[in-house]
Amino acid sequence: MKVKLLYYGMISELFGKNEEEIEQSFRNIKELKSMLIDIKPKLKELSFIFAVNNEIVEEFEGIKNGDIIALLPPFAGG
Amino acid sequence: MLNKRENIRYSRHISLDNVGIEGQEKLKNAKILVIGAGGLGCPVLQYLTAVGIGNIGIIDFDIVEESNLQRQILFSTIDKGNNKATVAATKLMMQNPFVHFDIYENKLTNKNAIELFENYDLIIDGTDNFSTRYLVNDASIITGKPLVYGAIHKYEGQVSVFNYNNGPSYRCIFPDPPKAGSIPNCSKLGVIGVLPGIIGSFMANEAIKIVLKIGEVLSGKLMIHNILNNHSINMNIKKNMNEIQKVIDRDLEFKEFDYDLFCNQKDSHSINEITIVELKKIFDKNDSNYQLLDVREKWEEPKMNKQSVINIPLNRIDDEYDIIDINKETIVFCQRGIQSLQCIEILERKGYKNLINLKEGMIKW
Repeated sequence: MKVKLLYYGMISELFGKNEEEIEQSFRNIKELKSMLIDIKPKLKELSFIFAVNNEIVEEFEGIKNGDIIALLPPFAGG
Repeated sequence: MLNKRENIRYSRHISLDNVGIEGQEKLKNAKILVIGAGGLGCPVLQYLTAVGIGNIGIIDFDIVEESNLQRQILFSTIDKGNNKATVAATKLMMQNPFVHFDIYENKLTNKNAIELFENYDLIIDGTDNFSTRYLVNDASIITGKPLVYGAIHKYEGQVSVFNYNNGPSYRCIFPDPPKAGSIPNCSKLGVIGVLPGIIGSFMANEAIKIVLKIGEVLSGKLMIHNILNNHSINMNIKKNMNEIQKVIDRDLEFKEFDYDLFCNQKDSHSINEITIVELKKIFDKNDSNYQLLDVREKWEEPKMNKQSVINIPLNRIDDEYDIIDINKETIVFCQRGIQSLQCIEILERKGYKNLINLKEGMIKW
C-alpha cells in the first residue's frame, strides 16, 4: 500500500521535509502513528492530529491505497 | 447612517455589488473584540479600522519591546515600554476617526472574559499561548460569539472560524492541549516578519465576511498556509458535540477553571513571590544574596534609596536590562505588583532566571 504523508510545523522540521510517499501496510491511523514513532521516536513527545484526504479524523480511521495523510500540530504563535 | 465624509471614505466599498451603503452600515454597526495586539493583532486591527468597523475593542496587557518591531507594524521605536493596546488605539484613531475604540490594558482571564465578550458580536484570537487560546474558545462558546482564529509557527499559519452558526470549535480539532513545553511560542522559535501580516489579513477578511454576510466563511475548515512554498490547504473539521457540550456543562465553573494547569503551563509560568514583610527583612539585613530591581518611575513613593536597589522604569527595561546581574536572585517590585510581573515575563524571555515578584507591590510598605 502506498500513501502520501504531509508534514506541518514542528513535524516537518522533525522529518526534514514537507512530504513523502511511503509503501507499507497498516490498517488504520493508529498503526501508521506507531510506525512513524518507531522511525522518529521524538514524534511521541509532540502533539498532533491526522487528516486523511483533507478530512480531520480519529485514530481508528482506516487507510487505503493512495490516501494523502497530513500530520497537523497545533500552533501557539501570534 | 453614514455621514458625507464616510460616504467618500468608503466609496470603493459602496460601489461593490454585495457591500453598498447597506453593507458599509453593517461594518459601522459591528462590534469586534481583538485579543492581543501583537503580530496577528496589528494587521487585523489595521484592516478592521481601515474598512470602518464601527466599534473595536483591543485587549493586551503587554508592552512594546524592541524585538516586536520586525513584525508588529503598528509600533515604532519610540513606543517601546508602552502598553500595546493603548499605542495601537492611538495610531488607529489617526488612521480612521470614525471608529470607536475600547482599550483594555489588562490581561484576559477567565474572571473577566465572559463579561467582556458579551459587549461584542465577534471575537478575534491573536494570542500567543495555548491556555489563552482554550480560554478564548470556551468563553466564545459560553457567550455564543463567533471566533476568528489564527496562529503561526515560523513560516506557516493556520486560520479558521469557530462557533459560527453552530459550527465546530477549536476543541473539535484539538481537544487536548499539547504536552508541556512541546510547542514554544514565537519569542522562542522565531518568526519571519511578514507571516503574521499575511495570516492576520486572512483573519480580518473572515471577520469582514461574517459582518457583511458575504462569501464562504472558513467555518468547519482549518486553512494551513505555508509562505515558503505558497501551498495552502483546507482541512475539513467535524463538529465534536461532546467537546462543545463539556464546555457548556462547565459554564458555571468557567471562572474557577485553571487554564494554565489544563495546558500544562503551570510550571513554566508560576512565578515566585515574596510578601512585603519578607522584603523588609531582606532590606534590614542588607542581604547581599539578593538583587533588588525597582521598575517604578523615579517619582513614585515610597522611594527605596538603598545602594543595592537598581531602578529601571518598566518602559526602559528593554534598553537597560543588561545592568541586572543575571547570576543573582532578583526581587522585582513596583507599586502594585503588576508591572513587576510584566517585567519578570520580559526578563525571562531574555534568559533571566531566579526572579521573585513582590506580591501586591510597594503600596503595602
